[in-house]
Amino acid sequence: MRVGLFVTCLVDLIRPSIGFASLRLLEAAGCEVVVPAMQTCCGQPAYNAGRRIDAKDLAKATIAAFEDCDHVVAPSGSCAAMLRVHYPSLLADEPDWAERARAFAARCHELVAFLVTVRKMSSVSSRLNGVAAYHDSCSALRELAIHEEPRRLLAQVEGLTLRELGDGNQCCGFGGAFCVKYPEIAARIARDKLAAAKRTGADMIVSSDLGCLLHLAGLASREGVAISCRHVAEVLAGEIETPAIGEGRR
Amino acid sequence: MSEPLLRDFPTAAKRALADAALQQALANIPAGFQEKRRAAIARFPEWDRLIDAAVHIKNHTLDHLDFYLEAFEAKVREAGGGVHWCRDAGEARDAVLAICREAKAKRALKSKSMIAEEIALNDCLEENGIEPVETDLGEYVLQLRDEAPSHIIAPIIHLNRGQIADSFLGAHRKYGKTRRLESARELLDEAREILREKFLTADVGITGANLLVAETGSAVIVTNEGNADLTMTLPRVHIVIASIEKLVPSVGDAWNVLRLLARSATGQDITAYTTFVGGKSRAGDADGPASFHVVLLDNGRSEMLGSGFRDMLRCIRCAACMNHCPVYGVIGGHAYASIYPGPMGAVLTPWLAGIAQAPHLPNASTLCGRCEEVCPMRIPIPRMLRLWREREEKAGLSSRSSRAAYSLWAFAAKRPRLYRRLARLFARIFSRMGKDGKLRRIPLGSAWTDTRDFPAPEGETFQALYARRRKP
Amino acid sequence: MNPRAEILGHIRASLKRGPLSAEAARALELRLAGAPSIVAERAKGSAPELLGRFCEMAKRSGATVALVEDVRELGREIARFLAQESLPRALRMAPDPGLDYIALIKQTGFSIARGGADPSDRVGLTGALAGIAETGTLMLASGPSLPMTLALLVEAHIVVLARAAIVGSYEEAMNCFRAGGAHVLPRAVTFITGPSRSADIEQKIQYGAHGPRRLHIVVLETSP
Repeated sequence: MRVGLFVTCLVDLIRPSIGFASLRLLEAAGCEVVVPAMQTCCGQPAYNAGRRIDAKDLAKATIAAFEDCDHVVAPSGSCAAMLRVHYPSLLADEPDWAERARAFAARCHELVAFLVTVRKMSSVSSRLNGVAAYHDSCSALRELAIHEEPRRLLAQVEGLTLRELGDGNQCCGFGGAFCVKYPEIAARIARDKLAAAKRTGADMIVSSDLGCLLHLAGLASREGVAISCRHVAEVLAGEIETPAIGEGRR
Repeated sequence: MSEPLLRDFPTAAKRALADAALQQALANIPAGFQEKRRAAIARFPEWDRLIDAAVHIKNHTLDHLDFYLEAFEAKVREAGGGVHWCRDAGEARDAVLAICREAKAKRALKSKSMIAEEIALNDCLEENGIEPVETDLGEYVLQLRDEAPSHIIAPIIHLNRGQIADSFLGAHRKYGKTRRLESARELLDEAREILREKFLTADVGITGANLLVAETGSAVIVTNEGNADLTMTLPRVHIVIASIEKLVPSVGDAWNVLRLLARSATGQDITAYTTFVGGKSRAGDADGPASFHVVLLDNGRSEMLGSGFRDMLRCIRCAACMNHCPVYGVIGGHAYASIYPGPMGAVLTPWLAGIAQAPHLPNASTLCGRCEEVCPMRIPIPRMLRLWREREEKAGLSSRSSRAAYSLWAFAAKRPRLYRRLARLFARIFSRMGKDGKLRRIPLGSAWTDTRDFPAPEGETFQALYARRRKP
Repeated sequence: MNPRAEILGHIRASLKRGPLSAEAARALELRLAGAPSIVAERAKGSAPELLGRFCEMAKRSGATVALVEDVRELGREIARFLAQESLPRALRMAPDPGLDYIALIKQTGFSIARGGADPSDRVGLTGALAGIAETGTLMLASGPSLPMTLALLVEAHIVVLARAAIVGSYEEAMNCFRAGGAHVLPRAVTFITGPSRSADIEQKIQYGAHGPRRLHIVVLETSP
């Protein structure tokens, strides 16, 4: 099974260890993984900003870059949702691309959903001591209906206690450009999310989206909240050598 | 009190975040509205089927809105009522005023109506020597404070008991009330006493309508207080003011929607009072008005029907969206500077006021999708927010610096080799600028770093590391 | 162009069509007589089940419910309620001929005046056309027999409901207004569920906002 890893621009730029963790998990699941060099961005920033032409151009480039893969897997709910849910509607009005986009979208997946649902992964052999609250990113939860899959695998991580946030799956306040257009609102929403995590007794937040994690880690750091942020791929692959997001080397 | 300007959303939002009384009021929403709705739905296994049916009914009605409006009008006329078609707010105000003048009205009771707010009816009545009396407790308090509502079904959600008590003390002095009240019970009892006199001496009763039923020419009005029933029964004239998309075909269709409305809104199975009303008092009736009028308002709905925002016309004004919105939940309704706040307001307000008057509303959203998830009419709000953003982009309403930034980014993102080189450069620079794994300040990045640290990049890009690992 | 024509014109322009054909209009007219509704599980059941559910749901909405066998027990129940609530032993009763028998009950311990409510009346008594088990709701309708002030201006509203008038759903209750398919309604059909209330003050429910603070439903087993 030839799987194309859609690295995502945030992982590529800021935290490659998530990409390598994803690679390890996919290979452990028996996939032949390729990383097309021509990928850049899924186009979500343009799409959400109403820049439809830019979004379409990037969609077409992405489709072309990954067309020879059986599956396309992204360690990000929002990028995976862009590929799987939005590409078809984005290109629906272009006869040359409509079917191509639909066929492509059907082969795109978020990482953990792919491992559990397609590769039938049921166990991991990693260990991480701590109490973690899982934050479902809005795209993963509402656009891709992912909820059970990460919990099933995280339950297998030795030493890790998983808690539910109990905040009704509220957004973390990142929202891409939103958090820099309306930073005070975004910070307040993140503060509420961190407080919810603290109330569960967690010392860690785990999520599938680096955007959410950068935002939460950034606020935790600035306001002195003792919550570490880690990506679900790193936790499942046992990549705990890397310091948590926004934390220095110990 | 003066209202924040429509364009000044960022300032209004910041003010709201710092308003301790408001924040305390908003903190009630999760355990209140959210939990009550969840519990009501859990007790009603037919919920999803009900939504399916309701969406179908509304879409069908909109597809045949001309037919159903004419059918509705015929029934109202048959019952001896008047129907007034109004293209915009001005015509609607004129229609109501004309009816009031003909009735030589001095005092008009009002039960809650978003459309009356939309057309600024109270100001118009006052300017023309007619005293409007809000009978919904929340609207009455707002009237005393000359303040706008902050939520479409809980208009004074932003106020606490003390603030209401202060308003009563000031306004009720002229009725001989000089004691500042403490409890909610006392406040309610005093309002009840004072409004009773108004109920019994008003000339005209003006209500909104939650639904209009074509089959019977009825307006359906729901309240918990019972004030609408008094308003539509005691005075000699009853005016219903409603927008054209409120139509449903039949009584059964109305009940389908009503089963969704209260559960979505307050978590009740049904409100204390739900009334189907139409026409003037019949011969032999023990009570009721001598004349009945329906003022139908278009104000952009007929045009919306043919636009990319058509789905918004299914809205039943339950407020579930704003009750679940992370942004509304921390800034409240006034920051939106519109009688329609929150997610549904972010779609509707730019339509009514023009996008140039409300440019922030569609942007002040993370597109989290919770609104669409809880909407009992499956309105795709995030999709329509994106559509507004597209319109703003095309109209050149986004800031020049923002557009420049996106253009630079898009230029690079479409050129993979250039992109990879720039990415490596940024990764190295920002990694070096980091201390203890984070950056406290980023040049040109104060929009992030004013409120948060930025986790430092690891130093190399994934693509570069991967390419190196592949080479032996 | 007049507003009516312009609005209808805009609607048709948005829908990208002209006025409907006579055939299409006829099909819609048939639909006006009512498409089938979804009947909730809780609106189904045998008569005893519906009675039980009606009482349960009515109580849940903040009303109180009493079941009485006959007219004499009804008299005693009303007296008991008035005493319990420290209300005056005087009530205003709807001029509904169907309630005349109540005025004939001997030695009840309370007095009855007929008509619409005076501002000084604290207790109103009416009948109801139906009780709806789905949500413990009462259906009342305007007419010669019902001044709505009795249900609204008083402190306590007592409703005498015949057991046989309890049905499952709102639609079933409204069937009594059907005249060959479509409904023909009186001026106002009011569905009352629990006492009047407001949660406008700090989102906490208070009873008795304009309308009655208490709603007492007396289900009468055997109608006279």
